[in-house]
Amino acid sequence: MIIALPIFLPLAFMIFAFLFRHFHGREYVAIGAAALNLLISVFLLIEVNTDGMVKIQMGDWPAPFGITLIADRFSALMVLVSAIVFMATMAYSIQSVDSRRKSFGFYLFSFGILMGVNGSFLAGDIFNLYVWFEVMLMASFILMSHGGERNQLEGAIKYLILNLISSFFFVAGIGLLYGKLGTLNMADIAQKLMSYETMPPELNPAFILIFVGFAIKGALAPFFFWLPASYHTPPPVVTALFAGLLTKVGIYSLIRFYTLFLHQNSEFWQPLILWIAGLSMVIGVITATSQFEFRKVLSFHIISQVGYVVMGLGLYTVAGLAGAIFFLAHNMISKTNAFLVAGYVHRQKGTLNLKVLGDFYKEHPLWAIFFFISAFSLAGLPPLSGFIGKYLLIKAGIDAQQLGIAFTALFVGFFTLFSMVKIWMEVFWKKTPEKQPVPIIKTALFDDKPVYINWMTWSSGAMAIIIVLTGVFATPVVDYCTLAAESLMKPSEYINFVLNHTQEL
Amino acid sequence: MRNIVLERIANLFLYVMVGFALFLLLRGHNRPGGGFIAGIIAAAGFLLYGIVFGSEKVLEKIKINPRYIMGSGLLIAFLAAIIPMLFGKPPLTGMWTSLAGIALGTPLLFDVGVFVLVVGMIVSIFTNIMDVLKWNS
Amino acid sequence: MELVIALFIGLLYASGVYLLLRRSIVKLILGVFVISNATNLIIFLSGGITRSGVSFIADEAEKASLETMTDPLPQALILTAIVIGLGIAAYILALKYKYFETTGTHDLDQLSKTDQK
Repeated sequence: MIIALPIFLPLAFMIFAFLFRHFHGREYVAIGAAALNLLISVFLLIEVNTDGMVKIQMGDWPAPFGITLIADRFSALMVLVSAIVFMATMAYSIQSVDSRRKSFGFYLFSFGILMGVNGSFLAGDIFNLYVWFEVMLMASFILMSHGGERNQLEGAIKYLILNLISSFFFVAGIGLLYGKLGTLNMADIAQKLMSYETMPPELNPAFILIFVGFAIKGALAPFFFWLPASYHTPPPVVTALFAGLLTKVGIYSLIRFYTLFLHQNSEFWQPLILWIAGLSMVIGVITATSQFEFRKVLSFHIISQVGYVVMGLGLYTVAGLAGAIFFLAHNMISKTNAFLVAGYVHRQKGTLNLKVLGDFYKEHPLWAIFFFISAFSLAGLPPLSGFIGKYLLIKAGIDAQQLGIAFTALFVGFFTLFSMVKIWMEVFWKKTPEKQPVPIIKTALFDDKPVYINWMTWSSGAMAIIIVLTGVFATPVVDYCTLAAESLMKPSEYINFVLNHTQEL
Repeated sequence: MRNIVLERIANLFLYVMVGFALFLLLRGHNRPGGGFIAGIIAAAGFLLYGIVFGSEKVLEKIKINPRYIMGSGLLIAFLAAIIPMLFGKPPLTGMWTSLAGIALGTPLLFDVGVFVLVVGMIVSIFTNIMDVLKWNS
Repeated sequence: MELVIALFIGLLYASGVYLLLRRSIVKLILGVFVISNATNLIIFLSGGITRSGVSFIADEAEKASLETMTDPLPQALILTAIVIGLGIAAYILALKYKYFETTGTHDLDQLSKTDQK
């Protein structure tokens, strides 16, 4: 029963926000709901960890016909991490979002994103997955264009069109898959695919379409153009929320599809996925070095880090998948926190152009430390969580005899470090240039309402502490990720659990 | 330019459409019909009314801000989803009770919620677009 | 019948892509709508087309049989996709209007402010 709550709780909050539009304490209700969501996801994780998998059939219809919600260890971890990210961004938004945006439904649509993300993590049915994607995208479209500044509208058009096209690819793929197999339940599809000796060629167009849909949503190498064009336009906290949650859902779905369906044709998919992973890593990190906008540098790094996760998937070993899961979780938290720091810089200085900024360490040492932790965790310095993630992935790559991708990952790590050091030097270390090289355009907007707790510092600080803790005490997390990867590598367990088979396939 | 015939017809047609929508809504469980279709038809009635009289008249006619209509529709559908959870069944399970020989159940509640939500959504969309385009003013 | 609809879907996709590649934002949006409808037709076609079959409606249920009946599920899926398409259409038109109001341009080539400066 608890598995339905991560979907119903945000819905309940959305209804509240719809009906009580002028309620003044809505920020605090939002934080309360986010905290409750965090609590629910902790309980979900505990329950999944003891039982292995939890499922529920919507409307009590049995498995291949009704809609299944299922949580295995992987999806429970993702729900938990997205709850942490969401909690932090909601607390942060109290001070960083201007009151006009707040009263125009900022919280409403943020919870829409949360509902869509949780739904996608828990869906056990491909059409249902599509619907959750759309819920998430609709809410994100609105948040992206919320406020109506020129840059935002431009970014929103690019984001909207490319994401809509990816949805069409995805849903066309679902249509073809349904036409061939006559089912939409993921476990049922996987079972039917297993019964074929070789994958029938009619299914390839369907899977290619679905793969391209996920690749656009996850910002993988040839399909990432919407991300850097749009992510730096909305208010910083919205970018932080998007960076933490949206692309990761595409990658999650790709991992789910690969481990259930695509691995049965691995001689085609595995090299493709490894190539895409390598290209994403290299292209993302090299284009980032030429950027001089705080959030744009971080946006390009999203692409390269998504490449790491897909690399772990492409290896398709237990160690590789465990590394991918760990890296995905680490990346959600570190990336969000880096964007939260960017938001604070934006609030203080009114601009994010690296050439203009400076002296931030002297003025705000605490925030410099937060940035140091999250950025160098992204770059992969020990003892932070990024080091563990990269270590697991590269070790898995070497063990799986995929030396090319392993060394690519290693080199990309150095370039990431270079970009992070660049931001560090430009924003936090150097003196503010006396003669400004480019005119400053101050665009910061925020809520000046007095608050009793410094929510921004607390949320970013909590994230930084989580990053350090997962780096230092990594063993239980890695063990958990390994268990999750083991169950992902055995799709028959998933199939039997969903379809209530008692005997082994 | 006012058009008396069109105004009379639009006024009458609104009631016909809403009545037909309610009929489709109640018929929807066993036969073609249902909440979404009924909502679209009722909203089409309001749309015609709006084209003839302007968006303010539509809002006067329905008296409530469409935003609250949407919210309450969502709330009704949400209740239909969670009521079975209170009885320990999976969400959205159909639960039935009968009142004086008429079967009432959560699927009906859900359909009503969808109906209200769709009416509210479409009315809010077209009144906003009409306001922006300065229709009839 | 399937072939005709399949060709029609191809035609719709072709015109949708053609519209997407035009420079005007309005045509881009129309292209998105056309592709969306072509995608809905793919789902419709994937259920197979059976003519003059009876689906399971209360009093005619006994007449229905698996041979003559159309698969009802794709139609439910299309309904969902249409509803989503409705919401997106409303939003995207509002966005276009707002964009035109702020910038006064329909030209996609003017959308270069968020790219490399």
